[in-house]
Amino acid sequence: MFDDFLIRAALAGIGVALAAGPLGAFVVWRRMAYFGDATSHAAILGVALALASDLPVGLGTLAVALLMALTVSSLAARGWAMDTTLGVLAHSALAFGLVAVSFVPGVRTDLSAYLFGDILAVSAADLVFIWGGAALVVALLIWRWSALLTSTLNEDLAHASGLDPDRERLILTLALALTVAVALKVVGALLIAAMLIIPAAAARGLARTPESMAVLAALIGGAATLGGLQLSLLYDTPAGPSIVAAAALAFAASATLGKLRRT
Amino acid sequence: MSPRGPGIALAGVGLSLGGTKVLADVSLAVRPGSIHAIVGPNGGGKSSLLRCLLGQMPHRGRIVLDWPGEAGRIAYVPQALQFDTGLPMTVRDFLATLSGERPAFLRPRPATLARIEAQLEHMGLAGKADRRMGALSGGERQRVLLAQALDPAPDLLILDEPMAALDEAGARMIEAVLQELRAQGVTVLWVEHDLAAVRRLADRVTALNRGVVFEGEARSVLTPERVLDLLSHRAAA
Repeated sequence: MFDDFLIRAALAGIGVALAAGPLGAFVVWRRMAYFGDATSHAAILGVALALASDLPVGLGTLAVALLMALTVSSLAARGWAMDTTLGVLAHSALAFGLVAVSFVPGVRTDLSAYLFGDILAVSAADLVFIWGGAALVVALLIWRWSALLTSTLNEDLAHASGLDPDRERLILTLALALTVAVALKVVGALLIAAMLIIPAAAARGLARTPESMAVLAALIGGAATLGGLQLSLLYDTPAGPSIVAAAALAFAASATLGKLRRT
Repeated sequence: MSPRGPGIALAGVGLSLGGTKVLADVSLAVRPGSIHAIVGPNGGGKSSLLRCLLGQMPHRGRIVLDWPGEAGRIAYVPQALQFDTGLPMTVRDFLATLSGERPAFLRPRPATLARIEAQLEHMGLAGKADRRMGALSGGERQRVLLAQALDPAPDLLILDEPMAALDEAGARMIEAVLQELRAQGVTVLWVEHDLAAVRRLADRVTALNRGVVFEGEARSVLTPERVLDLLSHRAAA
């Protein structure tokens, strides 16, 4: 029989994978990998502010991740170089977050849980937050699927078709901030972007349509969660990084399969 | 035939990006049902002007579309697509997505599929519906982009260097399409580098290098001296 904490961990990981997989597909198609990284690094600043002000950590993370994503989008729209802006903001937010956390009494020892996740300590309340957030992200993506896809192909083309690409970008930004907030406890701020990008990249070589790539990315993310937890149990390795390592193995397998198909 | 496309009036349009002046006080008028070309050097603001017209850039000044009746369909052919070329999307999926009739996770209706096949055949792309967008050559992708713009029939067509990636046959096809559209009274705003094609096909031309350098009838205004001035930046605004 599995222990309760393991079942909760598996459910938490699968919940994150359900949101991160399809969202990750958009991150890959729009070449926003570094954007995802920056938003997730900013989560640490959200943790610090939440702990300092006695607010729920999820709320602090969500607010700061959203603020970061909106700031980056707005600066990029004004002609700022995207990669430099992301580099400055992402690492500054992480550094300020780490400095700010050190001022909050009694938190220093728990910092690695926020950096690398603590999936084995997921509570029932955390599960409600993770699945609620993931369901919201999936609902947003299904609702706006066609519009998001058209905006991804070409924003001017989308505008000429009567869509508002700015609104679609905002929806994607909101979904990204929500995913960062729900994934913080599972894989930690430093590895959230990996859960967005690696399953989607692994699915890309196997899928035939955008929709099947989104579904496959969620399935690969879920399988990586179960595989990573198994790895963690067998070899006593940290759970969050083990999940990402399992996803990376899935990517390697998919890339090899794709290469074999082409030869 | 009375024009079904709108007249376009730009008055004092200006645009700055990251401290750089991209467009300065651009004023021009496009006649309804005409083919109006925009020419100029790289970085002269041609594509930015189109993006202002599409409402994609926060600009200064006024842009007014004067429709003969109810506002019609605006179609746009971009210079390139931005997405990751590994996106698993076939030509058929691409056109179905842009037709706006494809609900999430459902296959398009048979009527939509039949229309897509006809569009592709018209563009010389019969049999390419199952090819991935990322696997198409530049010229083939340009033809697909033109296919999406022509169905449903546009009233205003905005083209951003449609001939850039095309071979001779592709360029001839675009010329035929433009002549067809002119006969139907569609307004065409056309950014183009091929000045010989502009002389042959456009009614009027505006030379742009951040500001309007010169404009007039396409057949008479594009003299070798003016073109040299424009492209060697001697006429920079």
